[in-house]
Amino acid sequence: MLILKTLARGPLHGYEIAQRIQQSSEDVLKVEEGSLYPALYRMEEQGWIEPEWGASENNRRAKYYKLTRAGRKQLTVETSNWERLSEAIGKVLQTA
Amino acid sequence: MTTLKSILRHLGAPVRGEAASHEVENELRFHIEMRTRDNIAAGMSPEDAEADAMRRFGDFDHIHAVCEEIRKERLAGSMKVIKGVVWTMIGCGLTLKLAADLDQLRLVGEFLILIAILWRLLIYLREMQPDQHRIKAAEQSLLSITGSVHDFPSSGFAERPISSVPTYDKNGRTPVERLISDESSDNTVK
Repeated sequence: MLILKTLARGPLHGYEIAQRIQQSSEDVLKVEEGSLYPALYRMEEQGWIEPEWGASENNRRAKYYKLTRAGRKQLTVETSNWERLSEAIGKVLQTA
Repeated sequence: MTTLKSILRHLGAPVRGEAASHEVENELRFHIEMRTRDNIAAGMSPEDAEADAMRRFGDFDHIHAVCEEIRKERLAGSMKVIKGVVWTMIGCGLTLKLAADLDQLRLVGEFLILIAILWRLLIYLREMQPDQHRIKAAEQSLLSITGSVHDFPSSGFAERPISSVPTYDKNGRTPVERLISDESSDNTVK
């Protein structure tokens, strides 16, 4: 969901995705950066994201990922699932 | 347009197998190089910057292997689709060639068969090639980025012993089966 949300703003390469997630979470979410790639490959397999080789800001060849239509749909589903779950947990915490 | 591009990439995947394998490695190396560059820009020495980039990235060889595995799974899926398309083309071509009244239609049938055979032959030749790209990747390994793993003991690469795990033991059990049965026997003793 975090990767899909990060890509919703536009195509990014793996390094940028890792940085954006870390920055957006104000350094709370720090994952082993390499573990992002198997996730990206799986999402590509599912058809949620689509890769394209392009030039990076330092003119290096980089693989950019962009969200597909199926990916946007998946993001909507996962966001609503997350909202329901966090709302439910919030209710339990309030009553307990 | 996106769907068309995706279908074309799917159908062309087996033909460009070797290039795609290099792409995995290039992508992962690019990440480490970008992190190293940013670390240097933040004031680290080049050696520390590389070591930090490696540490943050995690186990390069393992991640590379996992990505390769996923790529190969996808390739196998593409191959199934392509084989289906090829046989459909041959079937349609033969039907047209044998049953059509018009010469033009018979010609279309022959053309379909020819294209299907050529396509299949191209993929067959690709499959026949040994995995040279993997040998190249193994030779380059991570050493070309880092110089030597011994330069960065903190990364953990230098200390990790390289050992092979036998696929089957004398009882014909896989490593996972061995692990499960060993754990359950431990629990029984306790």
